[in-house]
Amino acid sequence: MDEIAPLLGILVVAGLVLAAVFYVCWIILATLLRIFAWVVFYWAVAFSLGAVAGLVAGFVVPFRVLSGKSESKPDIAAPEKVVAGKVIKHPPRGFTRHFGWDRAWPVYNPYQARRDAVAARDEVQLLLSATWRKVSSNVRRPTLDTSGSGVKKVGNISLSIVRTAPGIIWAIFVPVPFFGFLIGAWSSFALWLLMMFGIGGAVYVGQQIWILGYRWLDRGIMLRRRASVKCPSCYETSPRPSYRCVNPMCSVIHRDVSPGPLGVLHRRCECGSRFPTTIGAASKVLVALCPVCDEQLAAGSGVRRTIQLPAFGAVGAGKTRLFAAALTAADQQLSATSGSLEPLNGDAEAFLRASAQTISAGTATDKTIPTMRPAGRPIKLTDATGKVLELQVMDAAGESFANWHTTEELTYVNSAQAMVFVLDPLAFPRIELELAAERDRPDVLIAAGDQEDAYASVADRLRSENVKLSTRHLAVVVTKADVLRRLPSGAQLDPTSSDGVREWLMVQEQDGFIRRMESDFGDVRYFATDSLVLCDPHDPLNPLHVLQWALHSQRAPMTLTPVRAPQAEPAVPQTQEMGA
Amino acid sequence: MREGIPTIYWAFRWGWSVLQLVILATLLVSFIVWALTDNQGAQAFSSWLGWIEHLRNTLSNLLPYPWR
Repeated sequence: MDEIAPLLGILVVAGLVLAAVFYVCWIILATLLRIFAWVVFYWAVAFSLGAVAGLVAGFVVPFRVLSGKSESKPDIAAPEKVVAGKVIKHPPRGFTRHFGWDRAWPVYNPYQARRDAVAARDEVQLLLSATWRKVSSNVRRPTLDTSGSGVKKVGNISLSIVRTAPGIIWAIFVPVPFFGFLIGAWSSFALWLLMMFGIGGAVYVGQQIWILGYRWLDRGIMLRRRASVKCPSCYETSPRPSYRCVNPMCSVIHRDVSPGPLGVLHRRCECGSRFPTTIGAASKVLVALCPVCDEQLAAGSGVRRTIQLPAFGAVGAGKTRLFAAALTAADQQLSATSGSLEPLNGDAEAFLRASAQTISAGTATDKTIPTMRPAGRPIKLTDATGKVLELQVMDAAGESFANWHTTEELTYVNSAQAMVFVLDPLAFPRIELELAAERDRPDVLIAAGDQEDAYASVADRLRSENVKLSTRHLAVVVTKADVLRRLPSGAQLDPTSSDGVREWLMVQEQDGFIRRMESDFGDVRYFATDSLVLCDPHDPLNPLHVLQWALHSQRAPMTLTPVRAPQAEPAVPQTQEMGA
Repeated sequence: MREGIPTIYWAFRWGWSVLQLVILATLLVSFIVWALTDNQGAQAFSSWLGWIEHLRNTLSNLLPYPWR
């Protein structure tokens, strides 16, 4: 019994100690749980307050960015980025796709708006990282020193806990409100972004509908006018002109001024100059250029129909004189009917002035200087009803029509729907003999070279290039009728109708040539003209009729020749009437 | 042009800001009106506070003291 007593005593003491340790641990754990409950309470309140602070901060950020006062500056959708394809991702469509985007400022929505949104996002990130840096500076990271063994190890661990206690306290109190701040700031930004996306999207849709409508309205007007660009220098045809910037100090060329990503109602050039979109509005303030060769075009090019009228024939056949007389007659006729004929460049103006002088004086026209690629002479015709048309007179020297190779450069004939072949009757062998036999032979220039070769230099080359001549119109103009009609053969010429002139050419043994022309072209019309002086507009020899035919054959709604007044019915003698 | 960018960009930016202000003001006014109507705001706040208090109590009473 004595041996068991100490053992029992030890067991009781051990049990008491164990019970005490258990209760102490229980009390500590229960206390810790209560402290944790208060920490959770703190977290809930601090998170909410942090979220409210974040909402307010996130609300202010877009204002700072959009007013230009933020640290994070928005990337600017500048014209050089537009040209580099960094702003508008798709290439331009249609005619200007090969040129790329013009050097101009894009519309704000969506191009700059997207960049501003990115800057606002960056600013939120900057704000959050700056806040985090501020609340986490001078905080020691919790590290646990587990080196040593036994008592030393416990001592090291306790010491490292004491040392990093501020860090632990920081970890309990700071991250949760910061997380609330972060959630609040991003929520505020997301709300702004959603609003911008919603309203911006609606604005974008409205903008696209307007662009489409405005663009097609402009295109529709141009289509109705059958407007196009025909360059008198490079002879190329383009649907729309290019435009030089309105600022004379700026060298930027705008290839497509239609409403689009670079402007809805107005466009802003890289230099900052503003001008209206649409061809109709831009042509009033900008200088038009040929999109192919960048040569300056006549004012208003691209908004009216342009017809190129080429004439071809042997040297001295009378091409230039024909145009001189026809245009002088057209000028007089249009002026008499409240219309106008206006030269569109210096060359055309000089030609019209010289033509008026030589026609009124009845003197000879200067020989056309042979050049490889003669520029066309643009002339604006406006009739009494206000209809406008640009006529480009393409008059190359006869030397250009020697053979196929010499006409290769004259590519305007490839696209001309109507052309004029000028035939000098005085060069026909029989007429030449009659003219030589004349006593008072007039001093007149006779066409040199084979006239059929001059025709072949154009027609055969076009056929060899697979140009469909059967859809083209040809006027065969027998010139110098003033001299011809004084000769015996000329007296038989009936210039009042195409058939009359054709019949006369057949009599002059030109039947083979006529058959050739009629088999080449779908529509051949014959004229005889007197270009020495200005004939009466009703006179069938007036070259004005050739010009009128050229316009009508291309369905250009403009009348140059005067409408003949209806003949009054002869009065019936009263006696007859009574007798009846 | 202003500060190297077209004036229209600034006009759009100010437009956005005004719009944001208007929308947020509308939301804020709606919230205040809702909060003041039948003391809904105070009720929502006290219910939120009650929920946190309840959470704290639940955690605290997970392990009662030995003498309780």
